[in-house]
Amino acid sequence: MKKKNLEPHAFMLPSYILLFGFMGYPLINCIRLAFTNYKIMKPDEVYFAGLNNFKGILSDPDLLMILGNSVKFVVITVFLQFVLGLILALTLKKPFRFRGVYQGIVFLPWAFSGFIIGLTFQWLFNGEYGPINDLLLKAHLITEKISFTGTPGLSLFTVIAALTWAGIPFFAIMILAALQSIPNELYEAAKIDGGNALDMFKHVTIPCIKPTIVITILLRTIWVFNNADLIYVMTRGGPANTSHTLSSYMFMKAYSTLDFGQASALGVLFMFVLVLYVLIFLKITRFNEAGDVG
Amino acid sequence: MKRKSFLIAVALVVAVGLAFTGCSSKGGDSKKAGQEGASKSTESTGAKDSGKQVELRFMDVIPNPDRDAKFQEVIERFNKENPGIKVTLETVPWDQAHQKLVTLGSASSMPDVFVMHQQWNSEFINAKWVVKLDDYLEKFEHKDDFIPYVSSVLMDYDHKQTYGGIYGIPDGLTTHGMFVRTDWVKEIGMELKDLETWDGIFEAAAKMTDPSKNRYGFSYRGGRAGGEQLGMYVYSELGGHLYDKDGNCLLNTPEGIEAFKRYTDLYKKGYAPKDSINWGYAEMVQGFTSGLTGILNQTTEVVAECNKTMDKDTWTVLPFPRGKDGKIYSKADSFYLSIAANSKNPDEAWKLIGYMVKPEVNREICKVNLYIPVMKGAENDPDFTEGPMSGFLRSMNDPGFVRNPYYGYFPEVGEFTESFQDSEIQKYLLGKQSIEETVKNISDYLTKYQQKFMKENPQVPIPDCVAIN
Amino acid sequence: MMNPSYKKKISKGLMVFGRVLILLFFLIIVVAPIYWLFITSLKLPKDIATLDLQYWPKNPTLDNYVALWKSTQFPAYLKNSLLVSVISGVIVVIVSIGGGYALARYRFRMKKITLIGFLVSQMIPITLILVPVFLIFSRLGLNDTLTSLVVLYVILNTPFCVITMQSFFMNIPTSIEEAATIDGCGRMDVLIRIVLPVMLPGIIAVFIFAFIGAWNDLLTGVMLINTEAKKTIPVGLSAYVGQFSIDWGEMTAGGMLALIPSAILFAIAQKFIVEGLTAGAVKG
Repeated sequence: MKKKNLEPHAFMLPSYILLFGFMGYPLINCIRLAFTNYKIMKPDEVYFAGLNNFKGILSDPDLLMILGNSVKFVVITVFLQFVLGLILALTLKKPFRFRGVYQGIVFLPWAFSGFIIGLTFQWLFNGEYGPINDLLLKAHLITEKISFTGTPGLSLFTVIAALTWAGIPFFAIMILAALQSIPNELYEAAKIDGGNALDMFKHVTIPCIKPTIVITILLRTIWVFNNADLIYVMTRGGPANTSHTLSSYMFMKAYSTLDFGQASALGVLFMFVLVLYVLIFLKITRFNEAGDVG
Repeated sequence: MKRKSFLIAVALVVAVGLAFTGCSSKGGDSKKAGQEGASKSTESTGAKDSGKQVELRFMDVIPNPDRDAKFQEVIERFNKENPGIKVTLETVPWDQAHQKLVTLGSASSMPDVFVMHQQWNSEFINAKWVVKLDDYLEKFEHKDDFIPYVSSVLMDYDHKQTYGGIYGIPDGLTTHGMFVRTDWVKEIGMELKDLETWDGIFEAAAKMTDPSKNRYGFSYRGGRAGGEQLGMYVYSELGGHLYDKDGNCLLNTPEGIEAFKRYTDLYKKGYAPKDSINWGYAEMVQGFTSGLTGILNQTTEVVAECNKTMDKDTWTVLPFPRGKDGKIYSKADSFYLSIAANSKNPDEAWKLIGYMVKPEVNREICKVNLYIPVMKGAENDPDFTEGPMSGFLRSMNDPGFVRNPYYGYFPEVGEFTESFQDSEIQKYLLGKQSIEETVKNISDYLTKYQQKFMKENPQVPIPDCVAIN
Repeated sequence: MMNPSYKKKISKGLMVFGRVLILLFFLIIVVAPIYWLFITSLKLPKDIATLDLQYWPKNPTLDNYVALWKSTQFPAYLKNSLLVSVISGVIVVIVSIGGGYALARYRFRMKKITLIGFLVSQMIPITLILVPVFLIFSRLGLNDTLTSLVVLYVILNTPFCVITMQSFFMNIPTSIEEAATIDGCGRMDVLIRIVLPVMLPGIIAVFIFAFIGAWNDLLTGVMLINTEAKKTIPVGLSAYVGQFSIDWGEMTAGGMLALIPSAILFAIAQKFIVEGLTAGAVKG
């Protein structure tokens, strides 16, 4: 009994040390600052601010539009990344000639730094020199150039396109790895029971990779929600704030005034929302019902 | 059971321990980070006495290969001339420079000497991250060699009167000029000198535009900090004033609204590409160099970009256009060389700054970076009096040259220039709100924060234009 | 009347056709932007941003690659990037095998809190933890070292990898281990000899994740590294994004060179993922 209780912690110890050691202080510091009046430009006026930082955030007039943008941005991006990644993984599951080379190429978008992806897609979608406009014109699909980044509604989609492009390989690799880990016996057993391909997909494939799917979607949602880099690089939230999401808009605001108190409050607020989301998501997908061998 | 809680306890102790050391280090450092350079000099002599070489970090924030090479060369010379000091060059890309310096500043780990952008002045000075240089400057052998604009506007007005001291030494001026396509000007039957007034600019922009040939008159900047470009025209209509003596913003007047309208018409009437509503620096320059637009309002550094991609006889730089009163409402900014408050060797740091702004060294650096030197002597140097650079120099030396006011020194200025102003103007360009509403929102924003700031800081002058020549 | 085997053939043919279409679709989508970057790296400055788009450079040149090699310390960037990415990737894999196994196969009190804690760590915007992390590194004397990057990348990538590793362990039915345990193998034995080989695809995927996470990082690299010779590839390349213009030619040349290691990694990983399957099948 004693031994068994210790074992998992022995396995966990390195992760605990890393996480609590280096994330503990930043996290505590962030929560502390969220309730502090802490503006870099006023180093002599640091005091407990109660909920003032939070009030400042929630009273922004553009909040609702930007909240809507955020939801749109996260849902569409994660959905596209997941569906396309799943299709790619399923297609790659069975061997074919040159699969190694194909895979080496098709996963490449993952190996680009965010800023290069942002700049490239901004160029591709450029309203004057962009190849997309040029090709559409040449194919006679449009008669005049479209200002993708200059049109409200469209500009957010250029960012979604870039993020989706960069994110497909992540889902594909994770799902592919999960697919490959499914022991063959399970398929053989299903075959003996007389199941067809669809049955096998439903009763073997999906249940087996479900934990991976749940976790990748969960974490992607968190990352996409927090992702502001591409928006800064590509549209800077323009035109007229229509391509801002909560994290890009709020952090731009807090950072351009160097109000670290408000920036921290924002971080805490996001964490609160995301924890809620995680709890609900895990409950719905019944993720945490792990088996216990031993 | 016991062991389990023991392990948890260990993890917690580690976490709390780190949290504690982190906290105390922060407290200690901020106390150490004194504002006065003088108070530190004892420490630095200590370092010298021990016979040890003093190591200095110098950080540049707008790196490019030519610039890096020049700085490297100058630093190596400096190191050779000062055997007790070893300076190393560090660079951080412009896009990340501000965030990095803010992080380093909050952690009291700034490089000893760094290049500070004018927009960061109020942040870094108020945060007490940079050292006051007045005492050093007093003893500086070249203190009387600065050109009048640098000493009276950039150092005296912008620093001394505003912040009570000089916190950085300008290292090279950049001012605005109009980059124009000389061949297009000829085609529309105008003379280059017609484009030296705003009326001429508007006329030429309209005439040059021919969307069927993929030609637009003006490189409009609707994206990041585009409001500043618009402001340059608006000031020429408002005589260079932004606030009245009570801090009420003057933009929301019939003349102000009219100026806003005339400038934004460049976009609204299609004299600029549709995409330009979201253009920033790089895109507006690219618009001009690629032959999409005919007129570009930009600064000296852009000459290098045009040299690289355009045919020599198709473009030139004209002095910044005059307003209806005949004056040139423009600005000439510089980066500042500053010493970090957390530097352990401010005396040696000053030595480096002094070396870099020495007239001959400064001119050498400015030639590479395409800046106008801060020290006297450029007026006799053909590198500055001939070719594209001469347009800028003519602007700056014009008797009618007026330096436009800043928006203010309140903390919200960053938000105003980086996002608020542009998104308000974009709303108008998209037809989402009227010009009256737009100007009112902008004007109210400035009035609100300026008046609040004035109440708290009555000693700081109200932002206004400065005429010096 | 259709012969059933004939029918089967048709549907199989359709399947193959569909699969080829899907593969082509992804190939085009992925390759188009990369192709654009590639030809940009072969263009002269005046041919890059033009209204008359060149889908093949009019004056193909290797100048950009030469300039990249001469004016920057690109070989050093490459070495640094490989070093920090591989080392942090390996550490992350080791740490997360332990953590993932514990989370997937044991019930213990802290489990739920641990999982939530890991997830929360992914929610803190990185910009907010930079200053405290910087202070910690200062204390440890790790400022401006590649070690600091390795440590930070391990920290940043571990939570995801532990959780993912857990999900990969959960994908594997416990029956495999139970059978082996009955055969008299010890727990560690079972883990190393039976479970890990089956897990190889997942382990490789986690390594790729950690490797790429470190490989692509710009922000923390810019923040923690000052010395030119210690910069990583993204930090080095970001210097081409200037205040007024982007030096597309040299930046894309660097981007193309930086792709080579990743492409090799992906191709090798693919092989391992397939071998992992067969290894698992044999031993299981």
